Amino acid sequence: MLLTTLGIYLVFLLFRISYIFIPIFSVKNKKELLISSKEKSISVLVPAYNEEKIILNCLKGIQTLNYTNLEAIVINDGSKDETFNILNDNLNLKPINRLVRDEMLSKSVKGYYQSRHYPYIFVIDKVNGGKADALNAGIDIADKELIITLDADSVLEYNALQAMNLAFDNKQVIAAGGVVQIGQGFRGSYLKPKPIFISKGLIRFQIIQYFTDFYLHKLTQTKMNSITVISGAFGAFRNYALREVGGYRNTVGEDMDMTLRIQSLIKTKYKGFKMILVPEAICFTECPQTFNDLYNQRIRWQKAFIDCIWYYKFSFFRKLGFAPSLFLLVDSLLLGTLNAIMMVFLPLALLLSPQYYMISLGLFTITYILSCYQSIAAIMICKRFGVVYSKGDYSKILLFIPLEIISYRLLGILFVTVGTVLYLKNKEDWKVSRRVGVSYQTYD
Amino acid sequence: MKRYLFNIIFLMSFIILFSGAFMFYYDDFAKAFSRNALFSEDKSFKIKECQRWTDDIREFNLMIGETAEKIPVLMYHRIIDDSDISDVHFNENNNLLETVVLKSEFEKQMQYLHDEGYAVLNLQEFLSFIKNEFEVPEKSVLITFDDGFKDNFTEAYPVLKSYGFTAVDFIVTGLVSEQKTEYDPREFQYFSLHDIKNSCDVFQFQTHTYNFHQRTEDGKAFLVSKSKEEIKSDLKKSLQNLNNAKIAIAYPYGSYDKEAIEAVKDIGFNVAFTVQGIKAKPSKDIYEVPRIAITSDDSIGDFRQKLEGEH
Repeated sequence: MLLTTLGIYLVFLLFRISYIFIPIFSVKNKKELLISSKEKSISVLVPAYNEEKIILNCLKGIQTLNYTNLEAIVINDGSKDETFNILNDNLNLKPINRLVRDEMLSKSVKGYYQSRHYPYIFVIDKVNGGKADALNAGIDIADKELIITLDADSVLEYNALQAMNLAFDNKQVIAAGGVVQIGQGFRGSYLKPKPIFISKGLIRFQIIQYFTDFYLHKLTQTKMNSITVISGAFGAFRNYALREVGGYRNTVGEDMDMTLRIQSLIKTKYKGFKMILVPEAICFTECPQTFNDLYNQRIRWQKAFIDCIWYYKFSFFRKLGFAPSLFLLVDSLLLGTLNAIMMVFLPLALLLSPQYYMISLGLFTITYILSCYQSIAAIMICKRFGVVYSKGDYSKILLFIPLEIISYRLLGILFVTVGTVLYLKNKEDWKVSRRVGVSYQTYD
Repeated sequence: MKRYLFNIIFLMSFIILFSGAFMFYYDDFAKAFSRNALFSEDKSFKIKECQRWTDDIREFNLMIGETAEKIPVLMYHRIIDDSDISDVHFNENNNLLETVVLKSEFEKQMQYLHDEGYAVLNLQEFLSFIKNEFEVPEKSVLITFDDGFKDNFTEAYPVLKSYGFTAVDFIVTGLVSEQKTEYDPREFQYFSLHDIKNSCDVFQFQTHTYNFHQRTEDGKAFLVSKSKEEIKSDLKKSLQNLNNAKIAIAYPYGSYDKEAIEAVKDIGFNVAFTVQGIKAKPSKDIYEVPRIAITSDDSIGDFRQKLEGEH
């Protein structure tokens, strides 16, 4: 028992230490963004379900992008609110006939439209079928070289597509993830966002978590060729890759599922190709503001994660490559999920065997030091990529980190445990987290 | 340049903090590991000096007709204070585990032995009796404990000592912990070296094997399932721990077979104990000496019956 615990802990240490020090020693300070000589053509897909409050904000981001060779396709997935009317009013839509390949078997499409004001913006109006279905409807008409998927609550940073375009200059890159930043953590113009660290604790905790997830975890995974999730909020794919895997599977974790489909495609057909994180390609997303919304979102993520693991249970190491299988099973499942569940039972176990108090305290101390260093590393890497806070904010961050580790971060254990249990109990019950519709940044 | 400096400082400070924490807790980890490990098979408990009393044989000066024909050998396992009893001490039918005797009951039983003037024998006296070389009072008894639970030290030892009684403790020597341990009645804890050294004026320590108090997957006791050579090798380890104190052995679970007896004879034990619920009388067959188990449900009346009944 003790030996097993310490064995697992050692693996945990190994992963955590590489997540901290691989980025620290490999990321250099950001230089001026290089621009590729040629803009590859890009289709941006934006699935929208009841997004009346925020869809225009998302489109505004697309309209002001520093990129010309693109089309945007908004897929109204049977919204019950005013999403379609708002699109119609603001874009001045006209019905069109577009070449539909109909390879993806999505739910029936009611109509294809094009904006009169912005001819590169298209709208698909369809019966509700879920996010994966909506994306498939988009893929069916997307004929550009690259396809970017973007959540309706996310806004692309000014140079985001330039950065993506540059990354795809490398022919071996088959798909790439962008960095998702939390919109509430920035103020001022979208064109020159200024990071601030003043929001409520629940948001500040998520800001640090996103930094950690993208700038430490995904960056390290890129180095190890083991990307396991390209976030649905902002992902980029070669058009043929999405087609060859047959589009999205209708599941709540459709982004992770797609990532694994492509990992499997790499393993079977495109040996030597890779998926990467593009740290310079940034989008801003709105994170949940209340505990309940956060709870629903994280429970959904965890259910999606377990669902994916279950779906791919026979594929690990066989259809999926060694590195991604290892990261998924060991880092995400064993250390992420099982560890969290163990953390819940640990206090109980301790009550039964008090002779291990000191051992637990020892492991806790080491974990605590590790967590502090991890957060500091995340902030430092951020800085190297140009997210620079004011001196006052840095001192706030330094005060926040040690407290956050033993307060908000413990929520993660709760979410992971509850999410797993709920998934196992009832596989169908998904909740959609509520949109607040408050934007902290402007285009003025 | 600034970045390199930061990286170095960041890494160095991490290494320093990390190794600091590691060193701070190193002892606790080392302790936890040695607790799980068996007592080293080449070490001894170093209790030769304080077990010298076990060689003494008392003179009882008995008249004809006052001598015992057979005497009860009592077998205990755990003695637990009434206030320490918790759910872990009950079986699935909600009865106290048979092997657990409440301290209050144990006190009454010892009180009874004392009041009735019982002679509590040591192993040498008992051995001489069973070999028919020595006469003991009619009211004689040999007290034994099996397994070597830590509560024998914390609970039984003070009671025995207060009456001037002695007892034989058959310990699984491999389970003895080298480090001092905190008594926790909820756990299956065994004697630590410290406990042994501080109770060797009352307990005479004999073997209950080194680490053969186990069963195979199909439920056979090791003493039955393992080969003679394996048994002998285990017993030798145990005797190394016990400074070669090889007068008696108690068979774990009371299970043994012909081969086990041969192994015990080969090693050179003088006597071996089983569990049969009857009194022991002088006999040639001293490798199957019966003992009477005192269990959790024994009232003082039952205890008397076990001592004085005709069986």
